Amino acid sequence: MALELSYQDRGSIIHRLDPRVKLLWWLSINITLTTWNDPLFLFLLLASVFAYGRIARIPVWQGVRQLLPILPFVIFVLLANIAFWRPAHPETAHFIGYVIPRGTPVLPPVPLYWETVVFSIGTMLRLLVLVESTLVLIKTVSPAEMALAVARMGVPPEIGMALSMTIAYIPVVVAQLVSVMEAQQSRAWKVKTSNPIARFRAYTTIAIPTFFRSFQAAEAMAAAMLSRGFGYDIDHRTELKPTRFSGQDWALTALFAAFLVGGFLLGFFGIVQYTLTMRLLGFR
Amino acid sequence: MPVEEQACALAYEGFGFTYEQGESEVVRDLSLQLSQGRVVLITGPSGAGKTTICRAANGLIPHEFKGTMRGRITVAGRYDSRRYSVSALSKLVGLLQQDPDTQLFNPTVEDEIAFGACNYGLPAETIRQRLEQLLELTRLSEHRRKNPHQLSGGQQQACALAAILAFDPQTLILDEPTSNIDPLGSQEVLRLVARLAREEGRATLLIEHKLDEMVHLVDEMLVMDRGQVLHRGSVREVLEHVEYIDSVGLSVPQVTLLAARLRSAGWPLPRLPLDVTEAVTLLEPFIERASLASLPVPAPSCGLDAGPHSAGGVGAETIIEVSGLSHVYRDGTPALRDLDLQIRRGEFVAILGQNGSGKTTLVKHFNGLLKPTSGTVRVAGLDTARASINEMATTVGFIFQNPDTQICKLKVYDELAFGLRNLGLPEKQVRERVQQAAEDLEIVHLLDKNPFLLSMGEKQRIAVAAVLAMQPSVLVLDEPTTGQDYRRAKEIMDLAVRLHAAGQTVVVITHDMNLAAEYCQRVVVMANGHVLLDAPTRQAFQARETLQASSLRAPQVTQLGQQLGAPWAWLTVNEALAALCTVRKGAGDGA
Repeated sequence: MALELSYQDRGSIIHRLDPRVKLLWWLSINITLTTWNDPLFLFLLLASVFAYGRIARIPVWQGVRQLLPILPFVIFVLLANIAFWRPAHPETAHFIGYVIPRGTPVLPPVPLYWETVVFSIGTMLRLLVLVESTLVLIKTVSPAEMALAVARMGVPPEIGMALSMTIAYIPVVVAQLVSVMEAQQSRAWKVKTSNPIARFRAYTTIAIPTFFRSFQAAEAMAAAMLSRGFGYDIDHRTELKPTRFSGQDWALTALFAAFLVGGFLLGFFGIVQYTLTMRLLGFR
Repeated sequence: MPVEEQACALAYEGFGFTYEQGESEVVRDLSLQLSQGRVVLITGPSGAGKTTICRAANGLIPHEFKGTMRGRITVAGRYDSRRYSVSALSKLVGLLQQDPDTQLFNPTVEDEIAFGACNYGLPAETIRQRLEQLLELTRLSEHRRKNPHQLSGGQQQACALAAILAFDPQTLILDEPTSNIDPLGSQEVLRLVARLAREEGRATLLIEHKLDEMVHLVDEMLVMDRGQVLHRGSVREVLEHVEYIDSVGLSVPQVTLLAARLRSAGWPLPRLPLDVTEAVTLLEPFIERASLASLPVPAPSCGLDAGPHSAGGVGAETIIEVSGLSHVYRDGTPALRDLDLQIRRGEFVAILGQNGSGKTTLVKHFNGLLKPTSGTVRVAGLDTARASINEMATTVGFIFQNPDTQICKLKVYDELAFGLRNLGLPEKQVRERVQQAAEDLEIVHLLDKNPFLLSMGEKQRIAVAAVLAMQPSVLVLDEPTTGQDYRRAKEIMDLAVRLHAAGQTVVVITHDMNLAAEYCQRVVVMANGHVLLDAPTRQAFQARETLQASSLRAPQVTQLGQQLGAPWAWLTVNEALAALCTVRKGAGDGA
């Protein structure tokens, strides 16, 4: 489990790319994401992330399974959008009914429109694309490569190293979490409950020891890194695998850059908006 | 290299340190010089200040761990540790810390080993050459592309060591480099360290509890307790005080302790032996071989000699039944293969085996943390693959290696009540059971305290009490001695003995053969995911070749007995002492 969340050298064409190209892929996906809210296009974007991961030899089931733990949060975001997001012109929107009917004591009425549903699904897909693309990036760029990539992009090397070590720390925290969960499960700790408050309280139980152990591990890891010369002379650090931009890197850079510009403009000018799906569903 | 660098690689002068939140000095007035090619060993119980000494060597103290430092530490004869950064000092002083798991943060073994050398800007070609040498030296060549977290505990420790050696520091500081490794693996690592010190002229400071392995490898030895040096000198000089060192709770070579006790009993031994071979040579002239060969097996004590067929009382019911168990991890790694095992109610069983032999995987099936890939595991009649969490939690109590994994409440009372409340017991019953468990573990005075602020020993007792409050039928202890000093390890095992005496079935996973011999009535030896040997302890420790096949080795006194011709295995120093006193030449004449 913990190792599945870390870099895996699967020797694929993606793994052989320059880390900057992979970082550009991630940026192109996630910057574009900020301007899109059409569920159909966002679904295609999510599918493209899985396809990219598949080329990197990451099994689709692994990607899907790793999204499961965030599902409660995703569903919460979906419900929050349904409750609070309203179309700009409710008078022309397609009314379905009331989530909270008129006349309910204390609570105001909450109308539900088809626009709200479509937009909320888009927001949920945005979140899934963000998480899945980040997981794929982590699995295809080693922390050391990441440090070099950001350093070459003009970011101070210390920040690059700190970023890469943060990524390296993820499997350690996950491993701590797994052992803490096992210890609590041995004392009849249950998280599989339908009551969301009980579920939240169950998670706080594992949060304390996980935080405590992770803090200890972070302290030990920081000491270990310093004891192996981290930050000694970062500008003259030896690169065992000096990377050169190949033709493949250039071609994919052009592709991702074009997608970034095109995708951003499509969103910016309101083309990839939820109204597109609304029209496809027959709402005018 | 300047002359002074050659002469003294690392010097502590009147070193003392108090941590920021501490009240008193954890190390007091330590003066120590490490010169090239010499290996110095520091040993001592928990709280002796050993780790503080290591942290100070490369400047982690005072730069990263804040507090008040007294005295001075000089690296390579001229670099004051106060004035140079940790990363600069580490180029000269390589520090390997205790837990390898938190020191491995690169995606592959290769990257891990090269990390330090790259940081110090060594030429790429030099790094590549060293990488190959170190991979070969540590036998990690075939794992070079693996994630270090996929390695076994021993391999992780070897990888962390190689990562330090890669940048060739002139001084090595190793804080318990073998804490997670099986006996033969430990021996290999320590021999490697000593060899590197001699061949490459490296100054080496070792912190270790396993003195058996060290006696011929070190030039100087310091015994510390509560921040102060109790004894120092050559190993032979220091071990002259073996009985005192044993009394402060350190693991000492059994044959040395035995000989010291024989000397106290009037045997005219000219010196104390440091290993089994020396002990055989020394003791042989004093004993009647014929009497030894006919010595009757002692009556069982502490449940010893009660084997699987008689344990826990003849005819006791089977409480754990494992049939055809196989387990394959999600990444495809097979951990258990068609394993059969039966444990009877009231037995005290040790599960032994080398790193990666499947011990922990096996016991995690006992309480349903893992489900069988094939086969069945039944505990107290429950199929662990189908039983509910509540049923398993009240049947099998699992005590984890590190109490910090378990403790999740901010008050000891709530921690003890946690499992009981999960079971939905009424508050009155919760209160009674918490009180009972607290009394059993002698922690009533801690019930209102915050467990996170208590000592490691107290946390360990709280963790045990929290499990016992649930009144499980079977108690599983996972490596209770790892990372503990001998005194604390014995405390935990003594506690297990008390529980066993009260009728509990106890299963212990351990690498510590001395403890297994002393406490357990039955031994299950695992290798490559199956049971290699399952026998009463005394019988199991006679099977030298089988143990060796699993990277294990019988306790020193057992080996001594075998070499002297004893017909049955001696399991403890006291047993060996009694046997030898009986067969001493002239003993029958009242001499």
